[in-house]
Amino acid sequence: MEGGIQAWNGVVAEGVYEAGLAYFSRASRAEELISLSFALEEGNRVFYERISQDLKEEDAASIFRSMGQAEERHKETLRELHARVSGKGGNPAHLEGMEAGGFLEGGAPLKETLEWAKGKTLEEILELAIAMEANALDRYIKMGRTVVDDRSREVFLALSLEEQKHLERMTSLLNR
Amino acid sequence: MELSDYYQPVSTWTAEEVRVFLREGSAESYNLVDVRQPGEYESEHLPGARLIPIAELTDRLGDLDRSKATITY
Repeated sequence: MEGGIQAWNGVVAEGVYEAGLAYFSRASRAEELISLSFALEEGNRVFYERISQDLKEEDAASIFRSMGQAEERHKETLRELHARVSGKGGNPAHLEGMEAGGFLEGGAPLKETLEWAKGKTLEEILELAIAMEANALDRYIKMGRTVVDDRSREVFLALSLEEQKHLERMTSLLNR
Repeated sequence: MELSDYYQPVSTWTAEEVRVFLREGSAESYNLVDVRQPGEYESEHLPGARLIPIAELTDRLGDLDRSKATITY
């Protein structure tokens, strides 16, 4: 790519390769990767829902609400995949120290991030949301590459495409 | 890696061409490789990029699927 990353004006993810995000390295089996994804999707869902309640701009609030709903659908997809992979119903088990909803994509704690968001502008919140979605995209692509089970790979790659669409929605709102 | 591989033409894409290519293709259809150092990768990288520092590239070509387009930065 001409100019390398300095020429890149699109979104970027952060974190070491093996991690992709905090806690990634703890999860190696498909079942654990699903649990990790489920926990992060729940964190993002709560974040988007709370932010949508505080935003004064109705069109932006509506986008955040629909993002929260999308994360709920992702959770359902992951729940189904987990049942297929593990043979057990219900929500995927928590990874140690990683309760569903405690953290956001990228590893930031939900509670502290919601505190940080108070009084921030829509632009600042969107920049954070874009960084979160970029990390989710990065994570799902890597998970799709890591798992050997065909169905898990398909699901992770399908989720990566959805995260790509979320990124496009967020960036178009930011550039408006 | 064979001697003839050194003579394969390599095209250079602009960042915009890469952005369009990544947006339109599935992550399974290409190799996206970050050849910088681990610390640089950790600070920021294109989503889904593999980290293969340039000094390791020759030894790790087997990590890449030769049938797919490969983009490096």
